[in-house]
Amino acid sequence: MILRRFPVFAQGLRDRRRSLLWWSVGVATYIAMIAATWPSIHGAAGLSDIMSQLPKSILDLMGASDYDISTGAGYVSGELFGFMIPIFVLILTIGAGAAAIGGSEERGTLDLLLSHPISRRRVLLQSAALIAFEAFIFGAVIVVTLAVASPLADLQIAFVNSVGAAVGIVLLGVAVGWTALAVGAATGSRGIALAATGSAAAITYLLGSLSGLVAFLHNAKWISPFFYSNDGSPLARGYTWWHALVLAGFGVVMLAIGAVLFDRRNLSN
Amino acid sequence: MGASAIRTHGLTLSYRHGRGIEGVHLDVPTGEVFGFLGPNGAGKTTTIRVLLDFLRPTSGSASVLGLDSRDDSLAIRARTGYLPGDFSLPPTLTGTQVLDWLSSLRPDTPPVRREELVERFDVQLDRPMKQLSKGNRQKIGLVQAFQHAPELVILDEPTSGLDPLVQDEFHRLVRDYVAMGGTVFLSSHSLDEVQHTADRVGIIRDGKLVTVETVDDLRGRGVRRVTLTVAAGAGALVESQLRSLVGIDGVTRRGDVFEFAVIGDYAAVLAGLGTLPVVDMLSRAADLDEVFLALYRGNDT
Repeated sequence: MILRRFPVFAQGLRDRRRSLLWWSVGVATYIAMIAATWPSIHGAAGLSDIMSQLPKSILDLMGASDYDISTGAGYVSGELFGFMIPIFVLILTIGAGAAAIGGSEERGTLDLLLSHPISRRRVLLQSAALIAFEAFIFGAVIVVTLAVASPLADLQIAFVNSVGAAVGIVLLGVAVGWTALAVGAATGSRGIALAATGSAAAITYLLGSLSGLVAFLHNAKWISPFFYSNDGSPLARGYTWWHALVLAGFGVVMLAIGAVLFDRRNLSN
Repeated sequence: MGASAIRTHGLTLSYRHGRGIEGVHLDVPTGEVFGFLGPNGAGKTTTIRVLLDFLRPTSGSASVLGLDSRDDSLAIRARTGYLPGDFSLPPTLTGTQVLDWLSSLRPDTPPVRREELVERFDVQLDRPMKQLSKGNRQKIGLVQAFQHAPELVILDEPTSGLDPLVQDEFHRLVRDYVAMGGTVFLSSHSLDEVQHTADRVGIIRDGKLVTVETVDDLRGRGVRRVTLTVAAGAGALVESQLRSLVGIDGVTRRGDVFEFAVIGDYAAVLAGLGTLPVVDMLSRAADLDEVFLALYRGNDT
C-alpha cells in the first residue's frame, strides 16, 4: 500500500481519523442547521430592512457589513464564513499542527521515531501533508453539504462559489496549521505552538474586523489571514482567487522556516 | 576486529545551565559489549543522543560504524537499533501495531528476528500500550531495537523496569547477539548490572569520561571488602586506629563489627591490623559498585 511509503502520515492519519470523522459530522450538521433556518429568516419580513438601517460601524463590528442577508447565499455566507467555520477549521488544524512535532517531542515519541532512518525534514513534510489532508476533508464536507442543502433550502448558491469559499477555508486552515506545526518544530513545545498561533490568529482577526472602523487600522485587514480566506461574501459574490496564493505562499514560507529551525536545533528528551 | 563501531573525539556539548559532556573520547570496536556507566545526570544519555544526531556537539566529533554522526546520520540509523531511556508509545496501538509501524520506518531491513524475540521475552502483542505495565512496554522497546538485526544496538538503561528473570534473558540475548557479530553499547547506572554482559566499561561522571577498563581489570584493582570483628568492648579504641590506617576506605561500625574496603596494598593493611584485638576477619572481592565508589572518591581528592 502506498501509505507504507509515508509512515508518519499514515500513523498520524490512524491517530486522528476518528476525531476527523466527528469533526466532519459536526461541521455538516452545523451547516445543515444554518441552511435549515434560511426559509424562516427569509420569511421574517423586515429583518434585512433592520440590517440595512444599522450604522455601518455596528455592522463592521459584528463582522456583518460584507454580507447581504436578503439572499440565501449572503445569509449563509455571513453565518458560516464570517466566524464559525474559520474557527472550526483553525481549532482542527492548529491542534493537529501543534501536536505533530512539538507534541510528540513532549510525549517522548519523537526520539524513537527519529532513531529510524527518516530525516527530520521528512517527518515535518509528512506532518504538513496530514494537516493539509485534514483541511481538505473539512473543505470537501463543506462543499458536499452545501451542494445538498442549497436546493433543499433554496439558498441559490452557485457551485463554483461554494468551492471557492471552501478553498478559502481549506487554505486558511493549512496556512495557520502549518504555522503551528512550524512553531512546534522550532520550539519542541506543543503549548507554545498552540498559544503563539492561536493568539496570533485571534489578534489578526480582531485587527481585520476593526480595520473598517478604526482609522489608524485602516490597512490592518491586509495582514489578517481571515481577509484572504473569506473577504466579501464568498458564497454570494465568489471567492477572490488570488487570495488563495497569499494563503498558500504564507503557509509554505512558515513551513520552510520551521524546517530550517527544526533541522538545526537540539531535540529535548 | 579492527574496525570501530563507535568512536568519539573530544566530544563536547555545553549547555547554558551546565550538565553537558566534556571532551569524551570513546572507542568501541565492533563485536564488543560496551557498558557506559555513571550516575543519573552524568552525561550518558547526552552522549548517546549525540551519536544519533538528536543533539549537536559544541565541539569534537563522533563516528558510528565508520560514518560521521552528523553528515551520515540516516545511514547510521539505518544500520543501528536504539532503545531510548525514556520513551512512550502511542497509547491506543497494540504491540503488533507498534512493531509494524516502526518496521515500516525501515523499509530496507525487514524485522527478521521479531518472532524469535517476542517468544524469548514472552511479549504481549495484542494489548494496547496503555494497558501494559512499564516492564511489558520495555520489552516492546527491546524487540523494536533488535528486530531488524542491526549491526549496532544502542540501549539506554535497557533493563529498567524488567524483572530479574527477564533481565537474565536480556543478558543472554546480548551475549548471543555479540556472538553473531553484533555490537552493543548500553548505558546503566549500576555496575552490578553490566558486569555480567559487558566486556569493557566506560565510567562517566559530571560529563567527563573518568576511565575505560575491562570488567576484569576493574575487579582486579585489588579492592576487597572486609568484615572485621574485634574483642568485645574494644570497638571505640579500634575505630580510631582503623581510621588512621592508610589504604582503608569507607569504614562503618556496628558495635564491635567493622566493615571497610581495602584499596591497594593488602599486606600493609594486614600488618596494621596485626596490633588490634581481632576476633574474626572475613575478606572478599568487592563487587563493582564498591570499586565504582572507590574510583569516584579517588577522583574527588
